[in-house]
Amino acid sequence: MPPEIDDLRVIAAIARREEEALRELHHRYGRRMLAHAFGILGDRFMAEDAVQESLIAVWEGAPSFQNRGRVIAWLLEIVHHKSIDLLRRQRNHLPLDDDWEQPAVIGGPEENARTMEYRRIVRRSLGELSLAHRMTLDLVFYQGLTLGEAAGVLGCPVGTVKSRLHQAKDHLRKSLARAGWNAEDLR
Amino acid sequence: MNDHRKASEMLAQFAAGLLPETESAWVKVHLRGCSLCRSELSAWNVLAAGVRETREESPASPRLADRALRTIRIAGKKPPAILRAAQLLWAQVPVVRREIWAASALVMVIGFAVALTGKRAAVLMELAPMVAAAGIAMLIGPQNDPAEDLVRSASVPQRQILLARLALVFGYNLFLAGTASLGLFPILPAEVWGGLILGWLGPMAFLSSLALLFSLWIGTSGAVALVYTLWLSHWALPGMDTLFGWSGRFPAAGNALAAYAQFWNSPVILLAVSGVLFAGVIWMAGRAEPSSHHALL
Repeated sequence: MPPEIDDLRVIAAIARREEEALRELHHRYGRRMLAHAFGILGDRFMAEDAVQESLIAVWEGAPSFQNRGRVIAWLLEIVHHKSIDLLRRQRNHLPLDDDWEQPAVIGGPEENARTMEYRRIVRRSLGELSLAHRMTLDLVFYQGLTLGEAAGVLGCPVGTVKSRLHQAKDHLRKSLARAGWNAEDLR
Repeated sequence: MNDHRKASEMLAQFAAGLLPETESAWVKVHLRGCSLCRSELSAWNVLAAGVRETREESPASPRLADRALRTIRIAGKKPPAILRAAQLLWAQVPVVRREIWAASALVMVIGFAVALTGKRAAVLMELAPMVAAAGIAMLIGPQNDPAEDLVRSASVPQRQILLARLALVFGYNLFLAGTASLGLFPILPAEVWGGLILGWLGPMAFLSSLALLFSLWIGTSGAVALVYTLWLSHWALPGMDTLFGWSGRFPAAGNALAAYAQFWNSPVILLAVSGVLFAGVIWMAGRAEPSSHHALL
């Protein structure tokens, strides 16, 4: 399928039961779906299960998808629900996994210990947040969903999304301040 | 809303790159003249960068879409519901304790022989509920189900599994008792034949539902002991009443005993109560399973 065909046409093709369209959708958004599932589940294999179940749900739900906003928001909503279901089945909720927290990616040979320490504090501060807060941050800053779309995925009011973002930011600022940093230090 | 407050509320979306071009340009202009907002934006930027860094992508396996499609194809070839129900029933046969089948049949054959030779159809009415209740008490629980762990992790909901086993064992006992009743046809007048069926059907359903419920709480042996005590009490109590004269001395006790006897002789009430109990136990079995989302967040 040519890449210029937009997401809605891909969904329409899935609704017509074109298997190649489901592969195309996964090619476009599989990484982001997997990342969101992993953020909730903390386990690569479980996250893959969640994405697989989500793709099946997309196949089943595509015929009734009628301009319900952006396709990515719909996909992440499905992934979110499937991941929460899996998490409930497992009954153990894992925090952000260090394996997933890749080592610094914007650093280079010039990166010094002070910078490393700064980023360690940021990562630790994010890891201290609740799953709900981390998912909210993930949807807005990583997945690029609008506040309204993020609220739709999480099943909460937009105000809750805003307050979670502010709480996360305040928590980060306090963590940095405790270690003698402030947010402008690396700007 | 003043400009500072308006800009402040837009900073998170600005850092996330979510603002439309015009609003983004307006925020940029505001930032030039507002150190407070610049400081806030720094915090949002650190947060956004931190999130992106911890969410560094791992490539999604292209096999996932193929795996999903394979599952979809298999589901598309799913047999009709009636066939799936039959498959589920058949799959429970080896899981249910084997001795149930032979023991139930043996006891019913003996009961039938006693009833036929002694020309006492009431033997069947006493025996059939006890046989069925014992079988039902052995339906679930770790001591009865060697495949329990598998069942818990299987894709078939536990409610369906319990329902299938219930249908299997209760249906088997219905068949045994029904066949035995048919066999008594030569010694029974046609007009009492319906009474015989109802005479064992109501108590059989009620005792079975109680056995199932009790077996969840106190295990198979305790459940069997309890329901047998209850069943035996319905004819032992009137005898004891005659012996000790309770009704004569305590009229309230007499009324209670009469109501108790009436209950056991009312097949409609017994069937209705057992229906509620069966439904309750099946509902409880489903509750043990995890279900959907959202509340967690």
